[in-house]
Amino acid sequence: MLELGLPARPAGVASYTEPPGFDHDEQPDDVWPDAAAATVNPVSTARAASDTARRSAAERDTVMLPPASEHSADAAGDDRRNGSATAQSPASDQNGRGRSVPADWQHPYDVPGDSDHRRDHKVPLDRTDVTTASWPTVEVPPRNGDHRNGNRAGALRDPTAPDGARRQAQRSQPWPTDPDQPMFRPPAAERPNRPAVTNRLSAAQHELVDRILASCRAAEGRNAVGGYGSSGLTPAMMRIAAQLPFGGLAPGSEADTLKSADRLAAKLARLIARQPGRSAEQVAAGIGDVIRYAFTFDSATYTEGTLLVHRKLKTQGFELEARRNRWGSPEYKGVFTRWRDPAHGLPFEVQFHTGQSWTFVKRTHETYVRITDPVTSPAERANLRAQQATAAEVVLQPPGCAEIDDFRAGARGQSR
Amino acid sequence: MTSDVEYYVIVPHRGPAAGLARRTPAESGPVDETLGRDLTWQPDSAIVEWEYGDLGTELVRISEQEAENLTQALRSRLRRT
Repeated sequence: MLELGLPARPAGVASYTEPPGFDHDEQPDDVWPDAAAATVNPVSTARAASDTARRSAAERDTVMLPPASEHSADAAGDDRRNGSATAQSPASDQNGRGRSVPADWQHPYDVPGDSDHRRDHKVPLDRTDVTTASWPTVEVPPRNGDHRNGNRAGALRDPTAPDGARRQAQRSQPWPTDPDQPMFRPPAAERPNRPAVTNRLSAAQHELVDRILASCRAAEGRNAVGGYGSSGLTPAMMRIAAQLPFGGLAPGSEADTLKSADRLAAKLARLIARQPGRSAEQVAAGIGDVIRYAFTFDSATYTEGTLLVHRKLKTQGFELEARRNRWGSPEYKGVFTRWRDPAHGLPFEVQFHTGQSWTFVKRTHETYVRITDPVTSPAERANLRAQQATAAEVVLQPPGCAEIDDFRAGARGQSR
Repeated sequence: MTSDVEYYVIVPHRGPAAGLARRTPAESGPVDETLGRDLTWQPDSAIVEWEYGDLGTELVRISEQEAENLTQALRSRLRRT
């Protein structure tokens, strides 16, 4: 008999697990974008030539990503060999990432067989700027200020709230980068024209949300009485944190490790709407932050600590799927990573912050939520982004953080 | 005459291209949209989410013509399903 939290998939969640290469089940002419993708961009075009030997003619003309086991080095190397241009992404970095690595450079945590730390995996970056610097700053008016009805956000903002209420609210602060966090949503009356995205889900899609959560709950490791044993992702993270010579799990982050059903439903609805080329099940399988963790380090040990956690995660058998170094962003800083737990077949997210950047993302969470709300008007978003950029000026880059490259497992189209 | 509109293809971790996003300059601030299931452009935050470090999908800049080709391909696919 299995205990809760053991690494076994509960019944009825199989559809969430993302089988490698699931798109290969589709008929060739059913794989969007069909032949049109042959002209998607120079990256995919150049790469198609090098992939010919291992792909069918039908597959070759798509933007299909190879299985995760195929490392991005193939793609990056192909791009370099073919002299193809780096695809542009919407934002730029200014921390020098994407530069050439010196020939004698040795990764401080190079692990034999650890392909992530091979220097030929440097991801090419573009330098397209996000034009936020000139936008005017505006004040964000407080909302939902009443703490007396269990409103934690209100208790945090209300200077008259009792100390106990404020302490409780601080302990239970939401995950700072979750735009679906409902506690910061204004009442519906304040946003009469904004659709309730969760209502767009069908009954089958709500069942899909339930299955995802059941799967993630089992993987995360919390037992029926709310505690943890030795199995599951969270106990693994706690063990890793306990082994660190410095830093650890971010204060308060563990309280919101698992995304709520409402937040997940809202996110799924949003992603289904913007990904017409995929089924709801495929979209759901791509959501990687239902389970999430954050580590913090002081500035001096940040880079070493971040790489050390990477090594420990890999030692535990977790697979790095993607990493984005956003320390060059004028608005939102930190290193964001996505991992896969092979025991459960589930992705999870791990963020890496300094104490300063963690405090920043918590403090500016409401602004973040509004910026990433699809129905925020362009003018409001521009103002909020300018405000975010101004506020982020005090968050200092930790030394050496530019060494942490962007990464995407199996990517054929490295865009950063 | 070249358009100032930026187009991006949305590429998930596994599988083919999943959607399209575009950013149109405007005086009040950039207008971000994605192509919905009804093949109309709808206000969305996919681009800004990407800029803020979202790991769920990759956004790759494409030309307007490539975006049009992808839209036609999607239209054909949706018509079959």
